[in-house]
Amino acid sequence: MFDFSTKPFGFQDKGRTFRAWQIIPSQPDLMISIGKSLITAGIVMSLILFLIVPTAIWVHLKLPLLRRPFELLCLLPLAIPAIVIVVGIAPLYRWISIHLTESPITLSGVYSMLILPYTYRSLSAALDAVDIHTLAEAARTLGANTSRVIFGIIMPTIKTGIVNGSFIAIALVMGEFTISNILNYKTFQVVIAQIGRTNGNVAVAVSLASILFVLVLLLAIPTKKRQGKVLDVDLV
Amino acid sequence: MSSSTYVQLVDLAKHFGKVRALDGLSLDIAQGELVALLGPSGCGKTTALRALAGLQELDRGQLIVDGKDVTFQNANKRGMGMVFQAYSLFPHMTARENVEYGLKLKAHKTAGDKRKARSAELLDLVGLSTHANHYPHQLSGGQQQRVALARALAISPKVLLLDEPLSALDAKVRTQLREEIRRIQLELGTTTLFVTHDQEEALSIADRVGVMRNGQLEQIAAPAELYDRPKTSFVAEFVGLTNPISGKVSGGSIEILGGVVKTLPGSVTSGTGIALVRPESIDVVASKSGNAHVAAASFLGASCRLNITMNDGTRITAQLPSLDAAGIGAGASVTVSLLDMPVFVKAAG
Repeated sequence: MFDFSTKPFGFQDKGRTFRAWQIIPSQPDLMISIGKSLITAGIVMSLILFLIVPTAIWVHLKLPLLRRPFELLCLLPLAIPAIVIVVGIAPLYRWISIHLTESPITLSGVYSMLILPYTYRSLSAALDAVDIHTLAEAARTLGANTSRVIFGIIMPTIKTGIVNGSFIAIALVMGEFTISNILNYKTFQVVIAQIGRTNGNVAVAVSLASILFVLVLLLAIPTKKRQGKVLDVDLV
Repeated sequence: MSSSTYVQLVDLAKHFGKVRALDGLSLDIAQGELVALLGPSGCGKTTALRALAGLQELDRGQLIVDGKDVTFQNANKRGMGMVFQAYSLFPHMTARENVEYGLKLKAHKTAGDKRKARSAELLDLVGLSTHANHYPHQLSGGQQQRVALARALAISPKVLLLDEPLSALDAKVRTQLREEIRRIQLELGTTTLFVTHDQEEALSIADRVGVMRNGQLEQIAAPAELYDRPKTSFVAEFVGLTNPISGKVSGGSIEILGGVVKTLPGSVTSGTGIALVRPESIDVVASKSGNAHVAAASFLGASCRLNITMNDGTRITAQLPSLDAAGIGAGASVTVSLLDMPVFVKAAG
């Protein structure tokens, strides 16, 4: 990719050139779309942290009979082709863009549904690996209420599963093309595709930059100790 | 309710489908007392403990602690310290943070300095002050259970609940830790309910031992009384070893092994009965013209167990101090007699 992104693409270029990299910032819509895609990824991550994770923990702890149906429900987005999902939700998004906003951030709703199969599997594996029932009961006898048990004890315990699930989610949000393109939202990936039609070198440079960005993000994962502190919030 | 009764379990009932885990269990525990609940798997002992902790809802019954009805109180408001059978330390916290956890929460909110002092004091009490900054995965099973004990005691619990905390440990650590539990319990005077299926554990540290069966309390008494004067055949057979020996019962006595011994209250009063004789109630003396011979001898250290076949074919087990059993080996001819200790007699057949 680096090779392609540094190849000459104008008559005036000779040998290697970083012009494709230099003109990334001047690409129309690119920076805005990166920002919006990151905000969307952030919203999806928040939904994972405060909705999907507590729900998965709740189902494991309190509603073991619902585990199978819940798992099946979470796997559905994988079984239904993206084009079918788009056709199904298109009227809803048409209504949203007419009456509320045209921002691609609204895609966080459908993305939260799309990431369920990956996030739930990752969480479920982490929850099965530890005896969360005993940990929860121990915390309760020590005076912890339900939110404390979930956010202060279980979530830090399964943090690896949460981090894994979140990264899969970010990768999906930053890479999903079908839905955003058909719904006509200018997300990061749609803009890359548009640039690719006019200038392949810049598109490859942007793609490589996005991979490097994800790598940096991976390296910035909080350490084991800090992650525990971050999640051990007092919600009492 | 006697004046010293601190915890009362009144007519507790809990069904799991068709299984009656608790079937009218009632139990009183005095302040500062250590009561052990003993029984086979599925007898309801853990259900009773979990009900007292607030982790198990009841179908019927009442739980009173320190004069207050806590039957419908949430587990996080009851102030019970609990040590679980499974390792239950929070894996993302150090030993000290685990001990401090309960003190940080609203129910037992303690200022930072006091909290640190309290956790240091308790880790010292369980002999782990040098391991305060270790994470659970850096501690052995025994050390983890000690920290769990310190964590449960940190909140100054009204009642300390121990749910088979030693069953996952090896024999030596188990013995050591149970003695420490007793030492700490006596030192702090904490009212304690201890659930176990290990009779040695129950008999060795409890003030009183309750034997449970099918969700009910079969008998509760001091360890020695429970062992020497069982009230039912189940208790006699469950606690310790017994030799079932058939004999004729009359006038509060039974004729067995050529002798007559008194029967315990609750025994069969007439006809043929089966005496449940403790191995250590049988006296064995080497004798060339004895009434039995030794089939096998097992050396157990301080004592020796002899499998004996009587001349009439009855097989019994006797246990003697190793010194008394010196020279009695397999094949030896012996004279067997009974020590003058009352026995429980159950109905024959």
